Amino acid sequence: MSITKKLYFLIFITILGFISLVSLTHYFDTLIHDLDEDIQNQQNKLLIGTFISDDINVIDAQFSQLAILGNSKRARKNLSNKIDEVIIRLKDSLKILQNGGTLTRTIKLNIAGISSSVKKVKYIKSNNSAALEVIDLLPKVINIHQMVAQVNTLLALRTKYKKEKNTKKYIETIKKIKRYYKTTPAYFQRMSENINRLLYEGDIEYKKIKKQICLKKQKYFRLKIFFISITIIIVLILGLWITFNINKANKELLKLNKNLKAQEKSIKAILDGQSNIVIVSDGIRMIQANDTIVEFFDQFNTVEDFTSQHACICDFFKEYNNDPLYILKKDYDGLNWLEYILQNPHKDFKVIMNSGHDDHHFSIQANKKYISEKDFIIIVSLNDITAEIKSKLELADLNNNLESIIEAKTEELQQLNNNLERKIQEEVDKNRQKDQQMIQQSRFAALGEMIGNIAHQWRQPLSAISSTASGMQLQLELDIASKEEINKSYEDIIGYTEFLTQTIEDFRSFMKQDSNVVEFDINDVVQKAIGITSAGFKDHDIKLITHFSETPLKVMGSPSKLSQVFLNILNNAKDAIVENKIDPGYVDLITKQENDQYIITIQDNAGGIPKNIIDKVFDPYFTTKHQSQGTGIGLYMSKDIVEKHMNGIITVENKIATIEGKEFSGACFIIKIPQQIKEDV
Amino acid sequence: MLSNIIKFIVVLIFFSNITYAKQNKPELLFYCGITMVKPMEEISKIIEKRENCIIRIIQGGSKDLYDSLKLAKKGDMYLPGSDAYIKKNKKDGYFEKSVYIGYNKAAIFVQKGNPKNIQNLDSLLDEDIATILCDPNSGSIGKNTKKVLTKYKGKEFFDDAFDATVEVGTDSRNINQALKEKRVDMAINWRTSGFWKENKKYIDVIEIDEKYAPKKKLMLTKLTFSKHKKIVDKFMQYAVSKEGIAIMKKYGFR
Repeated sequence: MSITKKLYFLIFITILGFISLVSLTHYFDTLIHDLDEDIQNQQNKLLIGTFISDDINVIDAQFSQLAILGNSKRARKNLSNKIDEVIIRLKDSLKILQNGGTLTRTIKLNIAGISSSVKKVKYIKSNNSAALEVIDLLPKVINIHQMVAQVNTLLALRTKYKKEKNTKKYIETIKKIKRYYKTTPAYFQRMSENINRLLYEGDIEYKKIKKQICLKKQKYFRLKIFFISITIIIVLILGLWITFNINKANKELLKLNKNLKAQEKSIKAILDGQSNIVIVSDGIRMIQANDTIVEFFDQFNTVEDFTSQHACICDFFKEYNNDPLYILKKDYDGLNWLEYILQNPHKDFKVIMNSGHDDHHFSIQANKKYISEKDFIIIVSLNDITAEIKSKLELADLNNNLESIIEAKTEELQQLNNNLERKIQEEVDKNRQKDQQMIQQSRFAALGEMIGNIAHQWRQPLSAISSTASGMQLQLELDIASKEEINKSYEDIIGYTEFLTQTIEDFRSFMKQDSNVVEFDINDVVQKAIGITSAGFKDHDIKLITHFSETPLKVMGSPSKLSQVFLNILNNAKDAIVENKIDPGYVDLITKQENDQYIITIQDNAGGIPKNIIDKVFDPYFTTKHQSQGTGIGLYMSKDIVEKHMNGIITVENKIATIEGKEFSGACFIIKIPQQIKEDV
Repeated sequence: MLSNIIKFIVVLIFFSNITYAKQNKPELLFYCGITMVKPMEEISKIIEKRENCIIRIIQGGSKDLYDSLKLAKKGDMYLPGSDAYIKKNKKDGYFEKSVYIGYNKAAIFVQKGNPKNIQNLDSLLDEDIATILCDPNSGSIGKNTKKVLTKYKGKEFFDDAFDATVEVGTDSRNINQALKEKRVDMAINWRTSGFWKENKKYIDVIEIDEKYAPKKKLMLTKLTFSKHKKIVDKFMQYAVSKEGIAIMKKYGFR
């Protein structure tokens, strides 16, 4: 709630409180007034009762006078009229008691100059109850007419009989009058009793009402005090609460003002911190600007100086080469310059202004920001682009010489390019040479291995030839040799030499560089590799377990190169088993076809390759073997052959395998070769 | 504050409702001969409680009462001291239904201990005895006195007795009052009132032969202009019930 609303609320509460107090006071005063009226009403009822009682007494007296003074006709008439007057008054009084109203009673006075006074008594009938005294009295009052008439008749007869000197009738009439009058005191007494009952009951009622009213007045007074107190307390509390809130709001307002001033300063500082000229406008007049404006214009010391003399910076805009992008202080088809900029936000508008010394170019941008539904500000930013403009001009000059410079630079680049190609070729050649050397090294390594294998292969037949020849020589010296035995020995020796020849053939064919691509069965290549390495395996009691695929694994490629791969892996397995002194040593070799791939796995039980080097085993010149044994080329070459020549992949992992019912861990080489090798392989 | 205002309003409404309820209780007017006022007041209180109503009794002489109801044309019940008023005025058409609730019988009332040694009605003409008789045109006992005395020794006897009185009463109550205040020595009144607590220590009752003073029926009568006929019926039912009869008996009307 705003302070104004709170103030209004405070005034409203005060007025409401005042009205409530007045209303409450009035309400209770009315209640008390009503009670006073009730008392007055009851008093009036009693007064009417008194009037009635007086009237009954008057009638009683006049009725008695009638007997005494009623000898003459005139006297009877006068008295009867008087009685009639009182009866009318009585009836009026009873009517007021029955229905309520104002009783007007003329009281005769024997004061000089004042013969009578008029008294008005107002009685309000408060409920619908029957007025018992009226019911009691009214028939008796009406009956008085008859009584007066009867008495008048009797009195007239008395006078008549007296005149006629009719003694008998006269006496009878007197008896009748006497008898009649004998009943009247009781009659009027009864009437008096009736009205006395009214006075008695009225008095009781009056006292009762007075007591009740006294209690009610006390109650009303207490209630009045209570409600007035409550109203005052509420108004005070609300007033204090609202005042407190207003004070609080004021404090907040002061705080906000302080913050606002700080913010203004901060905004001014931000504006002043801008290197460009920043102007805040309401669309027509300049509201605020940063100090850059007075830094630019020498003739002004402060922003206030500027704004006091110029409502708009546009006063300084100048024309430049009739360039429409340069804004001027003019009418743009019904729009002022700011509106024109705002309507064309994508155009790069500029202005040119003179600082006092020289002209400066500025890029000009305007942004409209709404600060409420209706109010807005326009922030105009002017960036000094004089240097850019100058640069552009210089650039235009430079452009003219640029082509010749480019040509010279192109030539330089061409020369550099040529040198680069040559250098690249040289490096490629070097690499090829290196590769050749590596291949050569690999071949030599393989040759070394081969020689080792040949040595193993030949050891047994040579030993057999030697022992056969020695045996034959001994038999001949002892002359115990038969012709058959000598033939048999020769045949054995020939058989051994044929085996040796065959071995040489095998190695030769292995070493042969079959550069031609032929179709071959991988199983055959594996068999040959096993054949070459089998002697080495036997020497170290290493058991080679093979599982060949039932179908041939036909591929296109170089079988000798692939056999080099298997030979490498088998020899590595053997070396690892020997080095780690694994007994018994096992090598498990499996060839199989899965989908369109041939898979060859070679698993040993030498314990596996340490984790820290397993990723490096295919790197060139990496070896775990002694310098004398390994070159670090074998697996690198194997990877090269499988990937480049067979278009396959070779991986290694440590694996636990179950061989002959026992679990062993070791390195497992997996070679995957696609069924269809590209023709260019 | 708000709750207090609400409480105040509720209290105001509550009290105003009570007042309203009081004001709106049905109010019955009962024209009752003065002799029977006591038992009728007792029954009225019971009926007021049962029927949540107010019964206002106008008491007086039976003829005066009839004149009042005839003029006012309002009221619910009428109980004169004698059924003669019912019979005589039935033609006016104000009576609807009557029930017999007891009887009255005239008797000679004398000062306690009967110092004047009064024995019969002849004492009414004794010059040494101050008497009071009821106005025959006012109360039922006045009318009945005239009948009794006329029956006893003729109209002349009644006129002589009436002429000989020192006072004329309007109803049974002021006759008893005259005796109690020793203004008179002898009276004729409804015998039951002579036995009431407030009277019996001042008054002795001398019976009158029933051939002169027969029992007069007390007929409780519903008025035609009654606005509360159901309550009147309830009143009448109660008056003739065992409880009602017991009350009437207590005051000597049975």
